[in-house]
This record gives sequence, structure tokens and C-alpha cells, in this order.
Amino acid sequence: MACSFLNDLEAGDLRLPISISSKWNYLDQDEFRSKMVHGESPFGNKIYLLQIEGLTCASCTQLLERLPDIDDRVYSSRLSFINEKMKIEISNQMPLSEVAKLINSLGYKPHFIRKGEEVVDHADLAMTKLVKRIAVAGFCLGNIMLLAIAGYAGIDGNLKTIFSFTQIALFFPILLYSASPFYQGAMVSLKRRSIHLDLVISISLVLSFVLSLFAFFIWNKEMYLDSLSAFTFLILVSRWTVKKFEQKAKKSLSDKLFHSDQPVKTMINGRESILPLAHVKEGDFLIFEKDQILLCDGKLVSNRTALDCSLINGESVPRVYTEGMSLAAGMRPIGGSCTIQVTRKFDQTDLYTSLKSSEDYFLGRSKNLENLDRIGQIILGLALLIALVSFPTFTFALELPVSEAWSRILSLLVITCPCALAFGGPLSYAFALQQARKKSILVSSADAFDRVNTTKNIVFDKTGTLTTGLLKLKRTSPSVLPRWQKELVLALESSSQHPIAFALRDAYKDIQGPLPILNDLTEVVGEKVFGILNGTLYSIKRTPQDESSELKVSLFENDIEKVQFYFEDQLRKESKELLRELKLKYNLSICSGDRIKRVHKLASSLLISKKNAHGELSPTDKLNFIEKNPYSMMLGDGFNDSAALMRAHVGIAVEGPLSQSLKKADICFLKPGLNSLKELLSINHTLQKNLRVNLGFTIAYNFIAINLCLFGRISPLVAAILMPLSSIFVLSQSKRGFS
Amino acid sequence: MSILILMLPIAITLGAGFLLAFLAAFNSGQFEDLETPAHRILNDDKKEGYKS
Repeated sequence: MACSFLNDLEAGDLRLPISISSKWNYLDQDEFRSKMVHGESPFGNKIYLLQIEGLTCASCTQLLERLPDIDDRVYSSRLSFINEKMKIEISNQMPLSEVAKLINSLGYKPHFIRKGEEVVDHADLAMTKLVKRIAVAGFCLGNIMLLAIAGYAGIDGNLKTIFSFTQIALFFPILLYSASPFYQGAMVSLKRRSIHLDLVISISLVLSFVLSLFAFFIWNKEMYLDSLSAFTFLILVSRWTVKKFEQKAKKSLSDKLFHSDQPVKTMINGRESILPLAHVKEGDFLIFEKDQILLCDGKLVSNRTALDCSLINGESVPRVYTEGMSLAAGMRPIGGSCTIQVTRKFDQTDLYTSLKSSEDYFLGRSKNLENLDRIGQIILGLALLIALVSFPTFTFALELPVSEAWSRILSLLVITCPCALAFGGPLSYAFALQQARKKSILVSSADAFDRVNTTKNIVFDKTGTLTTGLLKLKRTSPSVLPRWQKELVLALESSSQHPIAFALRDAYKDIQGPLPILNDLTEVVGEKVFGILNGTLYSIKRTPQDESSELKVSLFENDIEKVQFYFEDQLRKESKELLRELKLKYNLSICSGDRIKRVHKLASSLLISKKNAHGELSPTDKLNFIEKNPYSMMLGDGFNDSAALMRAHVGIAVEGPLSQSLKKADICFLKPGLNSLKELLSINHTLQKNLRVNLGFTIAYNFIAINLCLFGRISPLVAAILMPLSSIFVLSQSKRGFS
Repeated sequence: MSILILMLPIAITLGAGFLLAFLAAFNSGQFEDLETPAHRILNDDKKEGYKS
């Protein structure tokens, strides 16, 4: 729409539909208007901030920024496409309702934001500070390096003294400003009495600085502030990168849905108003439009309405709620708008907390990462120990000159870089997680990757995992139906959302034209549909299942069974191929609550032996099965199989309510189908390879480098060049294989 | 070589100037939205922006 308006604007004949809506009138009260002012331009005009809904492409920016061309009372408008916020400067004579109408008539939904109600994002603030620290460190590092190279190249006399003092001066901003997050981390680690990398970094940073000063003032030797600043700078950069990826990965989920700055419609004293989500309190009345996902738990205040609850309970069939019933965040009104009275704020809802906790734990629990950290600390400790021992050895036992001994120790301290492990590990995991999110796979923690790696068995739940969960009409009895019966069946199922209705509509899709109109058409969800045609009661009902491998429903005419329909679940296209590949590496089995006959039929079509195909299992049976088979990866329903998923070595929820799945399972597939499993295994494979290469490289690099330094083969200058090079190698290595 | 003594403060002042320029730009929010300006450049600017 924006594009067509834009064309009209170019041609000079833009005619906007005149809005006579009065819903914006509340904006014109003086009290309201004064609260919305966000600043004043040099010309005395007021500036307002708006949230704009409905932005789609670049043309929207173009159109909204040309508001001054459309209305003379608008002086300027600036849009931030990403934040969906617009700053607008208007004449003091222009009513705010007119602004809203103008923007609305262009096809967008404007929401004025009150002054002081822009929500501050703490994660963003931390990132901003970090960028400033990196900028300062980068500046100091560049200059220190330049000066240090002159020193290594053999400058002496007055110049050397001046250069050295300048280096020390330039190092202070790094030590006192850029590195301060490490000291905070070190304090925390001291309080908790645990060795954290921040503590090691802080100690080595301060100690090395003091040693460097000693070297310069007392022993009259080279300093190594250049490598110290490079060390600080690179660690800061790597932290920023990790955080950035974390943020990006997280943004796609809870923060996107529960973006605390987004406008919600409230009802205050009978008047509609817009608030940012973060300011909604318990007891407030919120209005959610059709298809807008509920963001708070609450009681339904408006009339009865149908809600899609698939995010909550995984059911595709909508449910009807009546006044006074409790609704949960994540439901979606599909009938029309609904009003709720908030009982729990967005950040206390089940959906939010489970989404959040799945994201927070995300790197913390990995044993593998802890081990990598420990190896890093050991390398660092060893290097310090070797340095301490070898200095007297060099001077007293080997009788080397002090300057030579110091030069070797210096190279050793400079070249040792366990940080490759400390940040290479988390980065590798962050990249793997990001890649997984891109493929619609939610991994709850880094730990889950470790466990995927040690999996020996894979257990499939049948429905929806190996099969599509979509039914297909296999046959009918009698096998040929007259046209009127087909039309009747379609009419009965015309408004049903049940899988069987979809299957019937799909089977009889060649029946076009008007369907007979039934009186009192009613659906009892999950049980039956019925209606009256020409005085006869017709119904479609589930009937007792016989021992065949198919699902059966029947058409009844006044309670007499007339036609039987047999349905079958369809095998996913990719299942066969994938299972053949997996069989080479893992023991495969099927655990299903379904009839044994059906499970065996499925197993044989997938070339899984009968003894590994188990049917008619209750959730408890599945749990027992998992307990008997350690190192099992279980793919199943996040709700029904939650106990088994939790106990499994790796629990993967392939369907079911998201909030539940995130709590119980290690991994959730958002896309149906088994391709996600294939993706997950390949991501894990790449991750493990990258981790191995990084570990091998770091150990080999440090071992060789330390030895070369001890034998005096590497000068401090070469060491200072090699250290960041090794870090860069590790950085690029961590990303390998993840596009 | 003594020219270096003059050049050193000049170099550092220059560098610090750029650092301050960056920090000022960063604080003013120039790096917050990197997408919209890319759209904005496609706009015809015959009447765009300020009118007073």
C-alpha cells in the first residue's frame, strides 16, 4: 500500500481517504498532549515519539519521512526502521489526533509514546559501555604498539625514555578503564571462592604491569605493555562478539514476542490508552486485537471468544472461552478482539519464564566448557611457574646474562595464550547455537551439545515424529460413495479444524459448487459433528477401533452406521532416508502409544527390526524404557512424553506446547519433520570438530612456543606478533562450518 | 631523529581526536540504527527533511 501512495505522491495527486474515526480524539486532551512531548526544536516546535506498527519495506521509510510533503503542519519526520520508532516535529497548532489519522490513513498504526516511558534495555547499555572500552583500548593499543616496535628495533637514548614513558601513560586508560569489567568479575569470583577466568586475567594483568615497570625502572629492560594491551583488547573484543551473538540468538525468541517496549492497548477509566508492555500492572485491562498473541495472563472480561492455544498446549484445534475464565499468555484470539484483566505481568507468565530460562542457561552448564577453562588455567599457571623457575636457572645455573634471561622470560609470558581456549570455546558454542536457531532448533544449553555427542541410542515416538501427523483417507466402506453423500460429509465438516476434517476435505477436493445447508450444525470437539438435513440427523463419529492398523470414523444416518472411513497417518518423506543413515551410527527404536500392529507396520517400512519397535506404551512405560537404555536420545511430544524426555540423555521435543517443551526437553524443534534432527547432528559434528581443532592447536602452540622461548629462539617482538595471530586463528576457527 | 619528539605528541593528539570523535558519534546514537539510513539514501531528496 505504501508503494502505491508513494507513486501518487510522486505524481502529485495523492488523495488520502478522509478518516472520520473518533478513536484518536483522546489524544487531544491538553493533559495527554503535554505528557507526550519528547523535546523542542530550535524553532519552538514540539517533538513527539511514536511507535509505528506495520512497517514492511524501504518504501515505508520513504513515505513516512515525506510526511512534511503531505501535510504542511508536519515539519520533519525521522523514522528508525529497526526500532519501528518515529520522531516527528509538528506545528503546535496541529492536534495529535490529526497526526494519528494521517499516519493511519497511510496504512500504519501509530502509538504515541509518553515521555519517560521509553524502556531502557539493560543488555544494550552493557554493550554500549563495552564498545567504548574497546574503542579506548584499541586507541591505546595502536599507539603503544607503534612505540614498542621502535623499541624492539633498537631505539635508545632520550627517545627510548620518552617512548617508554609515553607507553606507560597510554597503558593507564587500559588498566583503569578498559579492563575494569575483569576486576568486577574477579571480585565476584573471590566472593564466591571459585577460580574464574576474570580472576586469572586480573591477576596476570596487574602482575605483568608491575613486572613491566620493574623491568623498565630497575632492571633497565624492555617492557611488554604492547602485548598486555593486545591481550586486553582481544579479550574485550571476543567478549563483545560472544555477547552480540548471544543477543542476536535471543532476540529471535522471548524478546521478540515479549518486547518490553511494544505498545499494548489498555482501558483506563473506560478510555482506551496505549502503554508500553513493561508498564502494564496486575489488575489493568488489556485489549488484544484479533490474531494478536496475548502477552499477559489474565481473566477474560469481554464476551465469549475462540482462542488458538497451540503455543500453550500444542493443539491445533482452537478453544472457546467464556467470560471470567483464565487465559494464559501465548493464546491468540481468532474470533475477534478480546479484553482481559491482567493477573500476571508478562515477565511472570509461564511462557515468558520458560522461554527466558531456556535462554539464560545457555552457555553456563557445559562440562566441556568448564574443562576447556581449566585447561586454559593450567596452561597459564604452568607458564607462570616455568617463568618463575627458569629465571634463576638461567642466571645462576646456566650463567646467562640477566638481559638474555629476561628477554626469554618476557617472550614466554607474552606468547602464552590460553585465552584462545577461554574465548574460543564459548564462541564455538555461541556459533553453534546461533546456527541451530537459524534452522529453527532451540537448544537449551551448551551442555545439550555435549550430550548429543555421547548419544548411543535414538528413540522415536511414532506420531508426528516419523509420520506427518496429517491423516489421509485410505479407503471407505462401501468403496464408492454417491456425490450427495460426499457433499453431505463436506457440509458436516465444513467448519471443523479437526485433522479428520482436513483429510476429508483433501480427499474430496474435486467436489465444487454449493454444499447442502445443514440445520443446527454442531461440533463436539474431538468427538463428533452433527447436523440436520431434510429432517434427518446426520453425524460423523469415531467408532470403536478394530484391530486393523487404520483409524476409523463412520457416517451415521439417524444413528444407523452408513459409511465407514479409514484413515492412515502418512510417513514423512525424509524419514526413510534419514533412518538408513542413522542406523549406521546409532541403535534405533520406536516407542509409541499406538497399536502394536500399526507400529510394526511402520517399523517394517522403515527397515527397523520388530524387536526394536514397541507399541501400546504408556508414558510411564516410555520412561522405564529410557531408564533401561542409558545414553538415549528421545524424540517425542513435549507434553505427553515429558517425563521420558527429562530423563533421557538428550530429550528432544518435536511437538507439543512450547512452554512445556522448553522446560522439560533439552532441545526443541520448531519446524515439524526430521530434517531438524539431521541439521542438529551436522551442527554438533561441526562444533565438536572446531572444539577439537582449537584445543589441539592451543596445546601444540603453547608447547612449541614455550620451548622455543626457553631456548631463546623467539624474541619478544616475534612473540608479540604471534600471540594475537594465534587468537585470530582461534576466532576464525570457531566460526568454521557455520555460515 | 629529534623530529620524532615533535611528531609523537602530534600523532597521539590526532589519534585521541579521532577516538573522541568516535565516542561522540557513538554517544549521539549514530551506530544504533544502521538500517534506516541505507533505505533513506534511496529517497529522492527534492523536498525531504526540514521545512520551516
